[in-house]
Amino acid sequence: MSSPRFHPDSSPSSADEPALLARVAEGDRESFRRLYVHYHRRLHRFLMRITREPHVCEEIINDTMMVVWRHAGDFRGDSQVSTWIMGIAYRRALKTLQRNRTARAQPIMVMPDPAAGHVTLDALVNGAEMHDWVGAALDRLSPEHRLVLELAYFMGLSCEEIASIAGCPVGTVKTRMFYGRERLRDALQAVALPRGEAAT
Amino acid sequence: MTRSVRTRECDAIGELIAWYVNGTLDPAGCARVEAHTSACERCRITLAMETRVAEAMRAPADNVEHSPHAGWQKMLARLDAEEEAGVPRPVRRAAARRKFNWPVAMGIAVAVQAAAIVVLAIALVQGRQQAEAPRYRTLSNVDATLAARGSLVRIAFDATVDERTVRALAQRVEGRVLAGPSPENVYTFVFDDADSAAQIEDRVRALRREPHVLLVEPVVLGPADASG
Repeated sequence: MSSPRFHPDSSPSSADEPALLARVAEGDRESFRRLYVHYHRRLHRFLMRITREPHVCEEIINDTMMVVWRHAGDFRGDSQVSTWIMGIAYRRALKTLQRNRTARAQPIMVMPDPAAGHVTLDALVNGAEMHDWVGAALDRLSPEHRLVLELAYFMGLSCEEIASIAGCPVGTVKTRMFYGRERLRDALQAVALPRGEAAT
Repeated sequence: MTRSVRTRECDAIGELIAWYVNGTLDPAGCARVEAHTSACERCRITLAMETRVAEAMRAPADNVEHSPHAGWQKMLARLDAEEEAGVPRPVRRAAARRKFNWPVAMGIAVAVQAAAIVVLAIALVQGRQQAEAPRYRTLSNVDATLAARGSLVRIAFDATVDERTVRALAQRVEGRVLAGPSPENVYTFVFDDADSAAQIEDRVRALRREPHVLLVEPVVLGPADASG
């Protein structure tokens, strides 16, 4: 006979999540385990991009979920449970990026508008190393710009969802995205092309 | 028609492109981006660039699936440590602010206390007879667990762990295998009924630190058949 309480692969749907969180607020560890397992993969994918170190990533996941455990009772249903949890992870990720940025600050070399130099842009867009270049270029962005890009392009979230997670107005997200993309484009050219060629 | 001069519409499209690329832009916005980029080379290049950037960001760095179980075991250890240190769990503040009413709360508290006294009195009188009754069931060997005397702990192992390893582990934590394995490789250990609840909790924590253990759950904490 199998245990009715041990279902490692059962995933709660988003409709079940508020009830699950309510049970977590009452100290139900089994509900907390289900929530933890359900969110682990998503948080791991997002946070590994930010930290690149598995043990740091796991530490942030557990810090995030500890906040969920302790403050589940504060969740009032104003947003989706996923937005609330991602918001907690976002603030942890922001702190990590801010700490890392101080440790390895690199100036961005500002390049001309890529639309004005098609050869340069073609080299960039068609480059086989695009994946590596983007990774290196993202490291050069401010934490706020980097996170908006990660949430939009990597997590596929809408402008409104990102605003809820980041706890800021939609207009701020749009502005961060606009300037984030500009800075990324500059950084991309700086990392992808030798200095002499970049401006040609 | 190809335009190379930056227009106001180019600026407006520039704000929409990211959301078009990640598929969250509304249909009217999508139509606007498509209409403009079909006519404007500058914005078409920008769109191609953004699409490549988004693709590069979405490409997996590796295909390794990371199991949550090791992290969960660490989380359980943190929860246990907090409980041991007596860290109080925060109450449901939002609900408390809205609903708290002193006279009603006092009335409920008095009623609950009175009910608890009555229940305790009945339990004391009937305790001896009830103590002999089985109070638990477990995974794969219902009869064995019903007959067991002692504290039961259920342990889920990963698929790599065989029965001999489990029996050795049970011996190491001064327990024995009562039931298992279930199809999910779950075992039930029983500990001597002379062991205190604190000793059992120590063993639960020790089991949770084992590398191939996915989950440890006490079924009955403290002597299961205490005859009080």
